[in-house]
Amino acid sequence: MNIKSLTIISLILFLVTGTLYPQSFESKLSEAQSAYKNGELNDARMALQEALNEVNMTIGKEVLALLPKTMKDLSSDATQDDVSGTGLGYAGLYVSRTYGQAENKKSASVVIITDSPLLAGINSILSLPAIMTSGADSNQKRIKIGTYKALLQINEAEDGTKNYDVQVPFGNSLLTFHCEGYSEADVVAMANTIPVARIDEKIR
Amino acid sequence: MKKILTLLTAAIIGLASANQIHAQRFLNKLQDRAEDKILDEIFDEDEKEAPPDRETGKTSTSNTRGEGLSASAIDVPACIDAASASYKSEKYTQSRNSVREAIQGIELEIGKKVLESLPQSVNDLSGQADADRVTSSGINFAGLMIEREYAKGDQELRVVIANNSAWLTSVNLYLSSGGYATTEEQPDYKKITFQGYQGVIEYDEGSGYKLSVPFGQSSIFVLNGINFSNEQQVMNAAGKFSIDNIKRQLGEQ
Repeated sequence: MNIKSLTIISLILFLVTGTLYPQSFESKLSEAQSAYKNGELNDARMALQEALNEVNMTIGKEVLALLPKTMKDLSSDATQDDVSGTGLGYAGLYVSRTYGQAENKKSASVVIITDSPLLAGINSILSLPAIMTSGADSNQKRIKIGTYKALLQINEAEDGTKNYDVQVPFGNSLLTFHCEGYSEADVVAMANTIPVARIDEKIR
Repeated sequence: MKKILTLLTAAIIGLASANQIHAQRFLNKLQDRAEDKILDEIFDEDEKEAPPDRETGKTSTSNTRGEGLSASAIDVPACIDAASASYKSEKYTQSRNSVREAIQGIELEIGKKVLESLPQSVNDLSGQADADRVTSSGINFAGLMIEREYAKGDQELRVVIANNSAWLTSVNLYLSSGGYATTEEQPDYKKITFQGYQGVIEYDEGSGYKLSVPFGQSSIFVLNGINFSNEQQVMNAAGKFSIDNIKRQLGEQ
């Protein structure tokens, strides 16, 4: 097979795959419309839920493009990026990116979930400062990431090392930044490289 | 001389003390007056605020009129069309919102059909039509909830059918763990089989009997019996409902 044929085949494949995604969404909507008109409510609901997954993935890819490709000295691995969340059995908007390698004891990850059941608990902590303890032994702190209130959770592993979770609620979404192998100051600085306001605007 | 000096000194000390005492009394009076003034100011301000002032919007009138909000059914086909149009314009969040609204509309219709299929009365208890409720959040883990109540006197039966619900987790956890057996004469929690489905029945002095039966892949039937004499009476009432019929209505497998 010569180069010219290969190029033509590649172009055709690109065009086909490039249009498959929106066609899948559109075909699910058509299926839902048709099932609804025939009174098949459960089939219509199922088709719409599949369409919802499709559009969530589309939004998820746009959110991924906003996340930084590197965090301090950690690089992200595009093959690890996830916008489906199907592995968790969760069918809302789900975006995940990891940085570095966990086995190197220095790693970070960003996970964004919409309609998360964890939101209520975190929002209640952020809105009731009276229950936050202060002092050197506190493992929860209220901080700011950009202009957004966030919760910093300090966890201690069995070997005595610390890892951190920064949770930022916005709208009906929750962003969780997890980091290992860095100081608290570094973690907060890294979290502040995430453009939360732009992600919020994209998702709302 | 010495005597005069001593007398003078004593007089000076006496006068000074007297002055101090007088001064202290004077200070105390000043303090009392200041406190009284502060209290007067506080209570005077309260008295000034007491009458309601409608012009400034401060009113103690309670609402006695209003038709409430108008109920509007969700136009599912229009939502689907809107989702498609938004997606083509790359307004993905709007498209997602339209899809979720369409899902809510369909779930509400499914819920209404399930309600229509439930019995109008159970034994002597009549269905309370104004308590019928169908709730859909369009969010998978929260799901669709269908509720109906039956009552007579102090006896009440509440039925909740949840579809795509996180409620299932705790019940299924109990069922899959093998449950537990107890030697207590009156256990408050036990595993049963209801219409061929594994379920759990509980009893609590404060809230009565509760039967929970998961069915299909993601649904649960919950029946609350208040002021029922015994378990048999509750199970007899539960027998008026058909899990298979509800399962069919919900499109469950």
